[in-house]
Amino acid sequence: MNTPLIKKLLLSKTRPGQLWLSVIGSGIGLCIMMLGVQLWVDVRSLMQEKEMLGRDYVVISKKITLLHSLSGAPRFSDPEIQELMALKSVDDIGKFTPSRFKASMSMNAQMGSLGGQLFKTDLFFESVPNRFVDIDADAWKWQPGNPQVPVIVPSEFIKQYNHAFASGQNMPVIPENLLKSLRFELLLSGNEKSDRYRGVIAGFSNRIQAILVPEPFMQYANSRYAPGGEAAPSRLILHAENPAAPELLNHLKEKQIETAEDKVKEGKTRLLLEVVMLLLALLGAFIVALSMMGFLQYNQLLAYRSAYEIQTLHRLGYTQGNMVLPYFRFALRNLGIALALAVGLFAALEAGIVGLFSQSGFNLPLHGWPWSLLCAFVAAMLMGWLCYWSIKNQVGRLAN
Amino acid sequence: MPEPLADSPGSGRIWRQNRVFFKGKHYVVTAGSGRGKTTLINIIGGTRSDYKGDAFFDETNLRNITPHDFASIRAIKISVIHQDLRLFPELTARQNIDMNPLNDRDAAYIEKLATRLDILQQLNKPCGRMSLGQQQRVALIRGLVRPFEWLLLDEPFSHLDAINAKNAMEVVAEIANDRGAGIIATSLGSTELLKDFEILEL
Repeated sequence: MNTPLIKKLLLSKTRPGQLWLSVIGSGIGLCIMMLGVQLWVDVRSLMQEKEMLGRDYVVISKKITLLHSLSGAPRFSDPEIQELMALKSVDDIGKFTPSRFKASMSMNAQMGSLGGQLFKTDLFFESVPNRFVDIDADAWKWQPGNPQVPVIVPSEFIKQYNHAFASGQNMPVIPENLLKSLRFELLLSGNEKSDRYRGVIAGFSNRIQAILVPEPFMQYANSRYAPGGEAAPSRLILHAENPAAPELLNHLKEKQIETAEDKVKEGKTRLLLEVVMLLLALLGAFIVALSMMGFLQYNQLLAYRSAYEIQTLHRLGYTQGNMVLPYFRFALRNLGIALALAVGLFAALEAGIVGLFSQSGFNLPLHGWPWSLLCAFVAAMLMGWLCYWSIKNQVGRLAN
Repeated sequence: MPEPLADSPGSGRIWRQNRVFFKGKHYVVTAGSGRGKTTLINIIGGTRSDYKGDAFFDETNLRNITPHDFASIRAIKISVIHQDLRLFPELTARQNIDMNPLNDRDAAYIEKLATRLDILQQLNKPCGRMSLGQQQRVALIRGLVRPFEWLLLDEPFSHLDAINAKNAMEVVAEIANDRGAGIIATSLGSTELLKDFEILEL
């Protein structure tokens, strides 16, 4: 078998202009796909920033009207909770338990000459079931007899302390990570009992505007300092896949239930972002599909231009496989060039984008590129496979 | 019976008949234009399957042979010299002869054949720049230097003058006999060159 001559015969009509157009087209298509994957991965990782109370939780309470100033905060009855639970977009509901005892907190400076009480304040606690608290289980446990109580503090408290209170009162400013290592004293009293506990900050939350303690501690303390009189909850925390789901929002509006507004807004923004990213992804996929089709078409056309040669070789006794091989090798070579082109272009664009951002003093974290590379390789392999089948079909059609 | 000819009345000795071709024997099929001579060659050669009825190679129905297997069979058992010659015009005569999947004759043998057929001077010339008569002889050489049990000749001497045709016929018969191969040739009507051939009308 005269392999070089067969190759020369079958690949005699490559038309360099069309060839490079198809190779560059596929390279650009692959590069767009890589950028899309990178964008997808990095935007998602930016959106999944750490929050002690998971991502998809909404805190709801009933609207307070003038009537309630006499009867106390409006509460959620069991049927109302069942109703909420029945909504399709709601996965889970937890009750807030408020503290019913008196509590105060004080912080003492323990450094020699500065000794003395820094400040003292009355406060209140709330608790939610542990499954709603996204925090290391070891840091968030309490058993009766344990003098140390972990708490989660609203970030806003720290900001207010540092920016408004501390500077006005000539008190030291404390950063969040230092606060975690500080201990403060909790004084709990009620039911003619009074005890001191040591408070430790286990984390901060943007979501909840109250100091959270572990639920077992809350149950213990409520029964010790204010026995009897467990009331229905006035606030609920609910887990929803999409906190901006119209079904949920309509139900809340109808029942005059308020939500922490920013969470819903964030949900809406995220929904919008996801729709935009989906559209971009579809557009990218369309371009990639188009460039893949261009590449396949080029290979089919190449074989088609040598229809006479294919038919004649077949009549001489060459099998279809003998004739598919030179075309497939040629396609693989071109695919390799397209892939190299895509990776090179992608790397250059990435370097350019990072440079642009670092010039304006912004350190862009890029984590998505390994996924981009992986996707490009998978796409190229898929393309090679498609090429093989389309060439095989084309040669089979032309040979007979 | 080929499908395009299915409606025409059959009077010959092949279409609509049972016909056996024996290996080592020589047959010539005669018919006017458009009666299916080339189709018959292509059916036996395995490159056409749009016919009614059945054709067998030994005990095997040709319909049951895949295109892949048939190509492999052609490469070692069937040599076809097509009416349209099927040369590659941009390749030289030598390269064209070299395009067989399998050649079992060496360059010296090829040159000897070329000398006998009077185209030795043309061997290094692209086929596209040759006369039809010269091309026909290149196609003949290509068909003769490869292994075959059957030689299918579709109007093999149509472009040759009387002397060259006679010369070529001698070469073909000699090589086919050497190999113990059968020949099925087609002709528009004249069979005077084809001595010892059984004449069959389509």
